[in-house]
Amino acid sequence: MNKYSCMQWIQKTPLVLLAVGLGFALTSCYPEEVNNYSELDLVFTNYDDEYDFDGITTYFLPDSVMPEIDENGDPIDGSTQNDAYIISQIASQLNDLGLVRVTDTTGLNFDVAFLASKSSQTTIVYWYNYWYGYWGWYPGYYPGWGYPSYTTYETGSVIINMYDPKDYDGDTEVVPVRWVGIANGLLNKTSNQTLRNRISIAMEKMFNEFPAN
Amino acid sequence: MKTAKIILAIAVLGFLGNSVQAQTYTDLYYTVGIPMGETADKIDGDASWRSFGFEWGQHLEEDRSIGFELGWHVYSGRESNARIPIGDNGTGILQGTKLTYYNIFPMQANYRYFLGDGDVRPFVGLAVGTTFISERIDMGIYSVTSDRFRFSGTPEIGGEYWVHSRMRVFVSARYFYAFQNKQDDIDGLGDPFSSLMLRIGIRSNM
Repeated sequence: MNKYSCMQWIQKTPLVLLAVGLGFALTSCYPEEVNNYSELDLVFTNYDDEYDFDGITTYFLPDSVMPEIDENGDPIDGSTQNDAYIISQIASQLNDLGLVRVTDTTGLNFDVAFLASKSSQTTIVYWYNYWYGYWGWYPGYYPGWGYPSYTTYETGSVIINMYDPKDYDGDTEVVPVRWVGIANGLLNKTSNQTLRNRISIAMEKMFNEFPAN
Repeated sequence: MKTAKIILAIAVLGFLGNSVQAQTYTDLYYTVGIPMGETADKIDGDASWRSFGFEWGQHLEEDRSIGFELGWHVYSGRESNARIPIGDNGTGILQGTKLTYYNIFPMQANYRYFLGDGDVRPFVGLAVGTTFISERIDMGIYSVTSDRFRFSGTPEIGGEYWVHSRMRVFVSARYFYAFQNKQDDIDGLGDPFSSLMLRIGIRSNM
């Protein structure tokens, strides 16, 4: 580089710096912003496409949400503040689908059962769940159905599984999940009313994907 | 293989000029990007206002130049009620707010042919090379990314205007296309990227 071109570079340095500064000012790698917690809410659904969902007319739904369990399989004492609301939202959505809720489970006089559980640490990645032989360990639930298995993550989730009692395999003591819905989101730093609104929206999205629609 | 393509492209561009007049130049430019095709679908057609770049090169003749360009282009889009099928049989559905980001870093050699010899000169050009594309999709607190080099090409048409004996301003329209790179095997990532890029910049001769 000769003397003249060196001078040229020196003269251009402020312009280059200005351009670089302007470039960085204009450019941000990830410019989109999350404006509120509800934008982080997710709903995941999946179903067994070999199952006849059109044959469902009645369902059983326990009055409570199954609590989170610890590593020993024991229920964790957590907040049940919104459990009744969650159950009411599930029932409302299923009723809107034209299904009839059955409360008397004597003789398994219903087509399918929906069980709701919750977790403060779950991921939505793994869904196809079985319950292996926890016969009657939790009062109020029909034996043979149970918790989905999933890897943990620091969010709050409501997991709803649908089982058909006719699928129960006495040898393996397993009932396969035919449909699953998971609502996942951050739970902290939000008012209870806001949380209920988010639950309501999530349930609507979830059951809009129910195959019997 | 990709490296070989790049070297070949640069060599071809180099041979397009057979007589070298060592008048070098430096470009600074700002770009507005308008996503096209499948890319537009992914980010809801949102234009990119966050792009800039540099170019260094030399004039081979009065009417031809070769150069090397580096750029940084940021594209992003928001889909508030995204509904994404998941799994091979399509029975899984994920719903939520989807944020999609592209950070595009083209590294391309270019060749331009200028028409006329007045203060205002139209030109046509072609740039080829490699582009590093960092893609990211956020849903909820989850995120998937793909960071890969792609082979890319950019035909261009534009015009320049001499504002000073050593400085020109130029505008151009370019169609940028980066081929797919699906090595990460993630749905929605690694697909071809295409965009119309409207450039305005200044060129200073050395």
